[in-house]
Amino acid sequence: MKNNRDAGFVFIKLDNNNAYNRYLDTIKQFIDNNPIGQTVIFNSYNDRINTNNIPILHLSHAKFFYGDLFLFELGGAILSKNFTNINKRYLYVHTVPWLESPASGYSSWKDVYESDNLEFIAANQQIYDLYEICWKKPIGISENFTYEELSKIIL
Amino acid sequence: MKILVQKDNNKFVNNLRNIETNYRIVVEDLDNQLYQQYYRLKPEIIIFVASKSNTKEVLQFISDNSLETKIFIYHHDELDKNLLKLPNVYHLANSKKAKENPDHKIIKLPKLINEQIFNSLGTENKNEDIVCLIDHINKLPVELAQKLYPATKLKIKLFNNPKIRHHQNLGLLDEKQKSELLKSSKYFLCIDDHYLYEALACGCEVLLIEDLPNLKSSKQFSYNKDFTESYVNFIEKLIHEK
Repeated sequence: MKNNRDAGFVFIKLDNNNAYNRYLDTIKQFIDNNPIGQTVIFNSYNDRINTNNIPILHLSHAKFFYGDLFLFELGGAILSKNFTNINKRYLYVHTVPWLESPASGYSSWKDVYESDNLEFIAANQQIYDLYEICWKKPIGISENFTYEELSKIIL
Repeated sequence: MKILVQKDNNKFVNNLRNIETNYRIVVEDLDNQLYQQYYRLKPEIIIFVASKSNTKEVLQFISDNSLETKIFIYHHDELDKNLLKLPNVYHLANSKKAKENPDHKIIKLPKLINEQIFNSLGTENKNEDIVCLIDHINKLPVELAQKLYPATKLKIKLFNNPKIRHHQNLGLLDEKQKSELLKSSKYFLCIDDHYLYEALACGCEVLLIEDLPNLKSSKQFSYNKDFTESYVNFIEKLIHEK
């Protein structure tokens, strides 16, 4: 499926493991199917040798980006909350961070998760249900973050 | 008039911190700095919290100052028998505890509500959330746990208890945030009367656990100001207590 959008993928760190192999494969496919749009990774720490020839800019450049942002960590969602040029932010959620810090203030979670332009993509049905109950209904489920799954949800 | 209140995380103290009166109410941590705070502020009234007051410092202070300063001790749960023996000290406790100890100088705590923040202002647009404040319990009631995910997908949001680990426990709130939440939510899940009157004042539909499947209240609750007293009035009464 061809698409035509400018998309930034925010990874605070890029590790050398299967999960990140999969993410980068999907982004590569995204670029192949999106020849007109601009696609870039914003990253702060990179531990990988092979990055599939995807353009990588430092994380600090993300705030100047125009388009959609794909986020993979809570830190990315916090960081990009006040970026003014972003159309939509998609947070790929596979954990429930508030469960690990029950002594945190509700307002700090609400500020992040109930931002106007933030959408959730859930990693499984349980995560989908929990985000729907606690915050907002995710726009879809993508178990492996493959290009096929992603394109069904966002294109 | 200055009132010094011992800092503690309970509903009574948290609300005293948030009320606006003609008096100056200062909530401070008094551990190991009671005399320092006393000489800094020179309060006419001090309210201690019983769970933090059975210390040498507080007992010595009460023995030194209970004639010049009006001293109250707030008993949150059980009455502290040692503190009850202190002369020239008033005790604040719920009416059941006061009845059980008629020989002591105990002022019954009415159903207090902070009407300055828990009221019907700004309650027009409500979402479908079911709010449940669990700050006073140590364990989730079994009946409630059976109504949470994964047993159901009801939009029940639990708040304010770091001891309870559950996906639907969404963190801590101060009193103002509780009022904002109750004003913006349609339902309040009542597991006892803790915050019941606040929820009614904020226009919430009160549900019992058995009402959850169909979201219809089986019991009529109504907010009647005659059954409650504002913190401001209560403080006035304490000031004039003889």
